[in-house]
Amino acid sequence: MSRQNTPTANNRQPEEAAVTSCDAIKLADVTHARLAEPLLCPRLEHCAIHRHPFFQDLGDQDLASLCQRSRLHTLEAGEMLCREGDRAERFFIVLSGSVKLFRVTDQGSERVLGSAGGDEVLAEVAACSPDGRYPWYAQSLEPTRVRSFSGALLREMVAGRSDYMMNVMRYVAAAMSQTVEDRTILSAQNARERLVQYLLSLVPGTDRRNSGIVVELPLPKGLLASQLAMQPETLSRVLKELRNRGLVQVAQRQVTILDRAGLQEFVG
Amino acid sequence: MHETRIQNEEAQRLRDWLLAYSPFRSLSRRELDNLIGTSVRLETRSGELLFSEGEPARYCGVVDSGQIAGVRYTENGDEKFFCAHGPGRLVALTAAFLNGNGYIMSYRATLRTRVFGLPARQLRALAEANGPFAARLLEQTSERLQSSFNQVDFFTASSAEQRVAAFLLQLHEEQGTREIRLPCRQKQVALMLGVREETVSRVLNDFRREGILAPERSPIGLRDLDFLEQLVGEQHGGLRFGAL
Repeated sequence: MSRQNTPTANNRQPEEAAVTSCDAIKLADVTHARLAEPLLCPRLEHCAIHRHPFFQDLGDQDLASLCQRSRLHTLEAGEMLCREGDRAERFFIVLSGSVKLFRVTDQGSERVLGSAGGDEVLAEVAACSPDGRYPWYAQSLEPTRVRSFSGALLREMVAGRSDYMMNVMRYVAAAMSQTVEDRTILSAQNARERLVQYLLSLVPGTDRRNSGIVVELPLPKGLLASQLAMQPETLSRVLKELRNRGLVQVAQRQVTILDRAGLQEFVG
Repeated sequence: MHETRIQNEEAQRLRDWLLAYSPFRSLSRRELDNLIGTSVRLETRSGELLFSEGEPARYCGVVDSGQIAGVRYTENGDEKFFCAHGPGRLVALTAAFLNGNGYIMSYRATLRTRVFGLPARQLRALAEANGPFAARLLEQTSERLQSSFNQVDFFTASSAEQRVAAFLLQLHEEQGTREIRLPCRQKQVALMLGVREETVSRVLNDFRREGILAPERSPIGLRDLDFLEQLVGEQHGGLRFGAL
């Protein structure tokens, strides 16, 4: 849901992630022309794409080809990036802002399945398969910048390079681990337990503290309620209950866990 | 857990199990021999843990006899049941590729069980050396991911009746008969579906009363498959609980 397990380049401000000084990308953005010889990009420290772990192990030439056929998407809030069921011809890296991932029920209402923010890779798994399709709709929640890459080109590279395949495999395995986490949370029978387990799942695995852990809800509360299969009123009620018991503090989308053991006990 | 080297006749069985999975058919004779040669036999008593969540993945498993359940433990020690794997099933394959993050769940024997352990390091080395093998593995893992993801989706918007119906249809497909048997206790089914045990009983009884199921408790006779399929809905057709 939070895609916490997905390996991403950390320690960077979201704003900085949007910056790229890669000449090949700049050229691709300006001309949309395909050169006979892709421009080799110097691996600049500031280039969000070059530094991205998803491209770790890729050679300069390969990366240049991918960059050259990449596209920058500058989205206003509420714009659609891709649609469920469409051929996954491109995969995405979110540079700044955030998107929500959802499906639509037969009755036409949305079911939120997750979200993605800066540095996260989207639809890489679907793009790995020649007839892969997007598993959800992705729509921007705020002004968002995304760079998209050719899935066919990725498949070509993956097919010829076992070491790179292993890197992609790590992403797929991490995504698998995330769905197991999501299923663990969603198979909890009551709303209170789902929310508490979700909050606990936002705590980084390395954080062993019992209190003072600050986590940020990746979605507005209304959408989070949908993701956790509960009514927005229920989410508010449970959060209030947790606050009254001194287990958490809530300020907008920032939740401070005051007593982690208490939270665990509360649903046990 | 008891770990031993595998015997000749077991090596042949392991080979057969592996060749049932398409990625392993991309391996050369020698690669497959090497993999089997480095594999071990793990024997567990009923209830014993084979692999633990978070522990570095030394082995992936191929169930030879018995049954392995994929589970997770909550902080309070409650067990969350995900799936059950019988003979021939591969378990914990993904863990071999999650660098250092360990098993994504625990695996516990529900019966006296024998498992062949394929060394994770060996699997990684094979994937690095053999492109087609790696490509097939990636493809299969992606498919399983898709199933797992569909379950997440199903959980966000389904009733207890729909969950039970989807599970019955899945067993129907897996067991290839209208007379199906639950692969685990009803309590574990409930945990897998995220509903109360009483609810599973109630839904099954309602279905029996309405003639959707035969009156007998076991095996469960599926009388009205159309009804079950309609209840689950076309968009969730082919859903796999416990897909991993």
